[in-house]
Amino acid sequence: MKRILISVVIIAVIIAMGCSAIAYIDSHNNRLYGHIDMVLKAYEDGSGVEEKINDLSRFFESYEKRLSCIVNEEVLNEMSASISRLMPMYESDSDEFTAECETLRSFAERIQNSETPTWYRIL
Amino acid sequence: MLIVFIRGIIVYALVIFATRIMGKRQLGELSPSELVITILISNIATLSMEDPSLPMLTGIIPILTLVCLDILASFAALKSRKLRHLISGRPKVIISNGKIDQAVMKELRFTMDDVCASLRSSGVFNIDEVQYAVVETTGTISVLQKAENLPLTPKTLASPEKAQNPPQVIISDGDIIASGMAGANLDEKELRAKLKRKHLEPQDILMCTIDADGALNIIPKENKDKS
Repeated sequence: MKRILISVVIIAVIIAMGCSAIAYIDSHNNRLYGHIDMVLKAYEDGSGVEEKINDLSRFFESYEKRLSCIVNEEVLNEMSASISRLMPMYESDSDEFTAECETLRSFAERIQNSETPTWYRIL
Repeated sequence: MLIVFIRGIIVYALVIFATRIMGKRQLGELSPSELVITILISNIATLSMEDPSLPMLTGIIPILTLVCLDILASFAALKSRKLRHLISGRPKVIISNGKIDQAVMKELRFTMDDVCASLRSSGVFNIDEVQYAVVETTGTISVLQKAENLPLTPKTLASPEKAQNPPQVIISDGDIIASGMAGANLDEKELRAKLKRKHLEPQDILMCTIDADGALNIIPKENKDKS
């Protein structure tokens, strides 16, 4: 009977952890989207872009550390590479700066979707 | 390198925990479901240990899920005979009264070589010596030799045993076992009449066997001990 109880508790904990992971990723993603929006707005305004990119990089460090125990490291590495490209792109006045920001957003969405249990992902 | 080492320690502790929580059943011969769980756990454990790009949780969660499901399934199987048969299968009588049941052999996809090899591993080298043999759910064959081939004991010296099949289980956990009833050539009405004479109902009985002479051996449930 003790084993049954332990099993039920473990399954409950796993389900709770799964749900919390989704909520956790969602809240972190929302903050990341906020930082990306601020970078894009500063880029449109033409002032304070470096500062916003640095804010984004700093936030991403903690984002990466926290999410690395939940999601596959590959996507986080791609995001990290994408963020490290932002500053050189801005400095070289690259046309792809906005596209790179949107890539970052789509990576974050991919992480969110990978944790959401939908039938097409399960199957 | 250190990450793999630490992951190895964690996975080792987790697999030991998993084996312990699954209980002693896991350590003996494996039933089909237990074999599947064991193979899966070893595979998942290796994956999460050797690939540092995967979060440790992607190894821990499936292992714990499999172990918990195995425990819950075995608990459910304890309560339901149908589920037990679905999960673990059921033993099949392959030799009865010294005769091989070829239909069962075909169903189990056993060749004569398989049967002979299993009999040899049970210490029987001549198939004529076998009175009764059952293929267990683990795939092993349990053998009862004919009375004349059994070792001599003080009991058999006094009154030699006749060649007969072992007792058939006709009630288990309060359920009437149709295959046992058929093996004993007994119908339910007759059984209920016999039990009524002992002031018992099938649901009061933990286990009831019937031997070749028709004698019932009843083990009542503890809270319904009326006999």
